[in-house]
Parts: sequence; structure tokens; C-alpha cells
Amino acid sequence: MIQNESTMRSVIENNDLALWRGADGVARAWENRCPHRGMRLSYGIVRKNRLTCLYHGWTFNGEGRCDKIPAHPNLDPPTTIGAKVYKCVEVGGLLWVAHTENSSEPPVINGSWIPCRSLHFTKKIALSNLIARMDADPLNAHAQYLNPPDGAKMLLAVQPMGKRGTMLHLTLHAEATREDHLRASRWLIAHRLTTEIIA
Amino acid sequence: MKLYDYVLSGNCFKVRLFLKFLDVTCDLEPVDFFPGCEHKSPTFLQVNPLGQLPVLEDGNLRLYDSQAILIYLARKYDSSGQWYPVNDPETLGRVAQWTAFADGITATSSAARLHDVLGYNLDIKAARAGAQTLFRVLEDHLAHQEFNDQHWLAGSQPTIADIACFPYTALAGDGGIETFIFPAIERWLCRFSMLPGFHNMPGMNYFT
Amino acid sequence: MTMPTHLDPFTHAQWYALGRDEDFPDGRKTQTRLLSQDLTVLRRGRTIEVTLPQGQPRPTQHRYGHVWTTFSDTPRALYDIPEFEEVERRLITAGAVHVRCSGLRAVENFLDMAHFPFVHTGILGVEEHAEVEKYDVSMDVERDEIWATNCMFFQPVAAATAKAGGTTKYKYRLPHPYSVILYKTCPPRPGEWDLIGLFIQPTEEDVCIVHSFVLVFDQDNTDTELLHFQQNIFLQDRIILENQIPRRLPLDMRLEIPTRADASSIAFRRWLKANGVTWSTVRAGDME
Repeated sequence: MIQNESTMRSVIENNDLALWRGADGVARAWENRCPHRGMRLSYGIVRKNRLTCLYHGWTFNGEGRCDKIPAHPNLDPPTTIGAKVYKCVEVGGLLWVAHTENSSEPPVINGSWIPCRSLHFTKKIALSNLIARMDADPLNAHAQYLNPPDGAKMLLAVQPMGKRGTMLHLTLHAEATREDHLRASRWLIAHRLTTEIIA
Repeated sequence: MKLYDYVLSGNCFKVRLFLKFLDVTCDLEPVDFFPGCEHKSPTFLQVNPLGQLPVLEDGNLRLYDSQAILIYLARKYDSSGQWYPVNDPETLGRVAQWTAFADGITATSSAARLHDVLGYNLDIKAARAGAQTLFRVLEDHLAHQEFNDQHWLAGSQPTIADIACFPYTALAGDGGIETFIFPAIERWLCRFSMLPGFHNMPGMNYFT
Repeated sequence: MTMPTHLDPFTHAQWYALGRDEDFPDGRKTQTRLLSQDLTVLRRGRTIEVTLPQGQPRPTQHRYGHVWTTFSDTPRALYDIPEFEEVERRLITAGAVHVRCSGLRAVENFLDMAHFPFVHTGILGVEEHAEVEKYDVSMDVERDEIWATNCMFFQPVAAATAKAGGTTKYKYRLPHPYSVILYKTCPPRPGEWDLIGLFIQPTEEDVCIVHSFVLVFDQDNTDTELLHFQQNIFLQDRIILENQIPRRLPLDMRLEIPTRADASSIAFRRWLKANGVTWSTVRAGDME
């Protein structure tokens, strides 16, 4: 869940990512490294639809091209200077990022989904050992639909973070109530408790 | 009014920031906490026998413990009653609970920072693990608050509990604790940084 | 004595600051690290002993308010800072701050003016005046050190002594791969320079301890006020230093794109390369 005009840091396997959303509502996923002096771009500032690096204020447009270097206000930065941009799409209330050349296509998910929780697990988690006690439809290698006996349909996605463990992202169908969200969150917290104790 | 202050102390920052929120002016008395260890000097121990910062002097009153100072300032200078809601027992109870929770954050996240930045000799693994445990509790609480459109620790308004928990959560990175894995905490930190009068202390980089 | 794999002769040949005299309690051993090796420091009165794990002693010297040692038996001489002899100056040592980055990155950040408006906003710079005017970079061949001169920058509060904003003049001196000294115009004494410097102790290739000093003409501020000013600035830099990827310094210009404002950083990286420095730098194959 990234709000408009804000950034966040994320990690897939051991790839450091800067995620950000402009005022236009479009989400971007870039390598988390300014091409100038290597600063993590996730510490940057979003103004309208451009991201400004915290270190020297180098400013990048929504496509990753650097179009402003404040130390040289009269310089038009060469078009070759840019951040490394990853393909990313929003489906099912989730942001899907292709962090390598051979990443698979994101799944097709119908309907409108609302983010519920993004929960950190210290261990490496496989989907299969998480949903054993719930009716599930696999979506792809990283995501499943879950049909709890009570409450709204859920979508659960796994983000492996290498030595940092795993993030589990849970979204609920748009019809879900506040109580559904709270119940789903409690379910995931309880699941984490058992998973981490067993593992 | 005078505050015995150290520029890198998150506990001193709580008081400096709250004074700014309340628009109350105060003289600062800088203390050489590091490397001079002036807070353990015989002179300073006369001011606070615990040898800790901050200490606030207001007229004849001399107070130590940042949370105690926040309570005092709220009751004395916040006529709205928002920051320390004494007339609302439930909210007040929650404020007290999360203000006490802040002491745990200080004991873990701040300790990790003292180790990593200033080279204090302490059990860094225990400090970081303790902070992780507390941040998980904080994360779950803040996420659940959001489901109920309550954007602050004790309810729908920021209170001294938010001030008390803020600095050493925001500065966790200084102690080698990554907080991007706690998105609800990150959203709360960001909301906090947008309160009128907010300013950064070194180690924070909120855009104001 | 076994040396770490990537330790080059130039890095090995330097003297390194380990801390201030008063950081080592009398009669009690203190453990520290230098270039990925353990060291023990023991002070007895005015004498300091620095020993390797098997007890072999290393030479020491007291200079510039700090204790220095070297692993080399034929060390490169420790540089002179004549301003330390000027009796009217006040010396404030700001203590040891640990940072998870290459010490070379910390040097480079200290040389850089372009970050002032963004990292030290409202103190050393403001975004409306972010331009870095052309400055000069030269080599002192005889002493093998780098100077950046005629540096100008607009600052709202350049120093604890500054009362208003204005253009501050700077000079930077790089006499050592892990030392950098800044000379800035001194508001109460036009024509004189105030000095601020870093003596960096590279503990690992990607971790360092930064010892710093302020050597100024100042009658308005207490030592503690100057200390707070200095620590405030350095801790603002620390968040940057801990978030640069990779943590070691790339010497290959293609890995990080410089601009004219980075002239001193370019000279520093070239100088390190010319001296065969590999310790704490990015090596082939590291980036992918």
C-alpha cells in the first residue's frame, strides 16, 4: 500500500527496490540506487510525478530519466542518465514487480481488491505450508485465493526477501467489511505465530 | 523555562518537539553527553541523580524523565486537552499504556542506536531482537487502528503517547533495525511528520 | 602478522587515529579494530601502548588531540597541520562515531558541497541556492596530497558563530586516504580560516569509526555548543552514508556518474587508484 506522492523501500530476494507513487496515482518500482552516488532512492521525496534523491536532489521523471541536477541549474542532464526501472503493475490490490529479465507475467485477477495487511515473517515461507487449513485456489507460484469458512474471499501473496525472511500480503475483495479485515488480519497474525514456532 | 538538552537524544527531542507543537519557548542548556559524559558528572548528578537527560526546569519545578515532562507540559500549556485527555478515562488509559510502551522502545531501539553510533558496549543482538518484538506489536496495533479510521496510538487524535513512541521508532535505522518491513509503522511515522510544527532531528529525513 | 587479502601497500603504510587520549581509561585495556585486525590499547599515564593479539607492540604517536598507530614498519609520515600550533584557536574533539560504510565514502561525503541544501537543509544550505560554482582542484606533488580551493557556497547558518546567511568560502585538504580537513571562512576574524576535520579509523572494508575535530577562533559559543553543532551535522550525514549502495567506494567512473561539482571526488578516486588502493573499494565483479 503506497500512498500518492510517497516512497517506500522493498526487497525481492536480495534486490533492493524503491517503490513510489506520483500524484498521478501511478506506482513505480526502481532499483534502489541513485546513479550519481548510490544513495537509496527510497529515501527520496516525491513531488507531483517526479522523485528527488535525498542526497543531492537529482530529480527523475516518472520514466526514470534524470531531468534536474540542482548543483548545475543551467545544465540539461544527458538523456542517458537515469534510474534502473523495473516493470510493475497493480493487480488484485497488489503491486507486482518484475525484478529480473525472466520474471513471469503477473496473474489475471478480476474484480476490485482492498489491501488488508503486509505482514513480515522472519522465516522463509512457502504458500503451501501456510494455507493447509483453508480452502485455497492457486493463482501462480506467489499467490493464492483463500476461501475462509466465514468472512470474505482473500488473496494472499508471498514476497521472498532472502535473509530478511518473507513478506505476506493479504488483500480482501472490495465487498469485505471492517470486521472482515480485522478478522483476516488476526488470522494471519495467528498463522505467523504457529508458523514461526513450528519452523 | 530551561531544558538540559543533548542534540542527539531522542528523549530530549520529544520535549523540544512538544514545546514546538505547543508554541512554548524554552532555553536550552546543552550538555556534553558524548563524548564528555557530562550527564554522569558530580555537577549534573545534583540536577538529576539518575544522570539522565532531559531535565526541565520551570520556575521552582525541576523534572526528569521525558514522559513525565510531556505530561507536565500538556497539563500546563495545552488548553485543548488533546495531548493528554484527562477527561476521557478510556483514551487516557490508552495514552498511559502507549506512553509506558515507549520506555520499552527506548530500552531496545535506543540502546541499539547507542551501540551502533556511539560504540556503547551492550548486547546488540538482544537490543535489536527486543525492538523487533515491540515493533511487531506496534505494527499490528496501528494496522488495526487504521481499519477503524483511528490514525493515532490512543485514538483519533495524536497524544503524548505518539510523541513518546515516535523518536526511537523513527531512528531505529541508526541502530541497524530496518523498519520498511513494518508498513503501518512507516505510515504512522509519515503522518506524525506532517503535524504542524514538526521538525527533523539528525537521523530522520521527513520532508517538511 | 597476517594481512587481509585486499590490503594494499598504500593503505597499509598510513598512520591511523584510534581515539582521543581520554577515550582510553588509565590502566584499563580497550579493544578496537583497524583494517580488519584486532588491537589492544592500554594507557598508563601519558604513555599509550598499542598491541596486536599476540602481544606484538605497534608504534604510537599523540598528535592533533588523538592517538595514532600504524601497521607498517616503514610508514608514510603523518602529515603536518600547522594550525594546531596557533595558540588562540580552540580545539573541540567530537568523539568517535561508528558508521556502516567505507571510510573512503565518509571522506568523499565530507568533500562534497552539493549535498548541503538537501542533507543539511536550513543550516549549511537551502534548496533555492543549490548551485555549486566551479572550484579548483590541484595536487601538491611534493606532499602527495589533494587540495580543492576557491569553493563557494551559499549558507543560511554556516557555523555556530554565523548570525546570518551568506556565501561561505571553503578549502579542502586531502593529505591521507582517511583524513580530510575543511577550511572555512571565519565570521569573527575575516582573513582567517576555521578548521574542521575527520580522522577516520577504517575498522573493516565497509565499517569505520569517524573521529572529528573543530579548530576555531570563536568567543561566542561554549565548547558544548560547538560540539552539538558538529554532531548535529555529522549525524545528518550518517543516514546518507549508511544508505549508499554499495558500501565500498567504486573507483571505476562508469559505476557512479559524476558532474563538475564532483571534481574533488573525481580527483580523490583517481588519486586512490594511482596509489594502488584496493582496500575498501569496489572490485571487479562486485556490482552484479
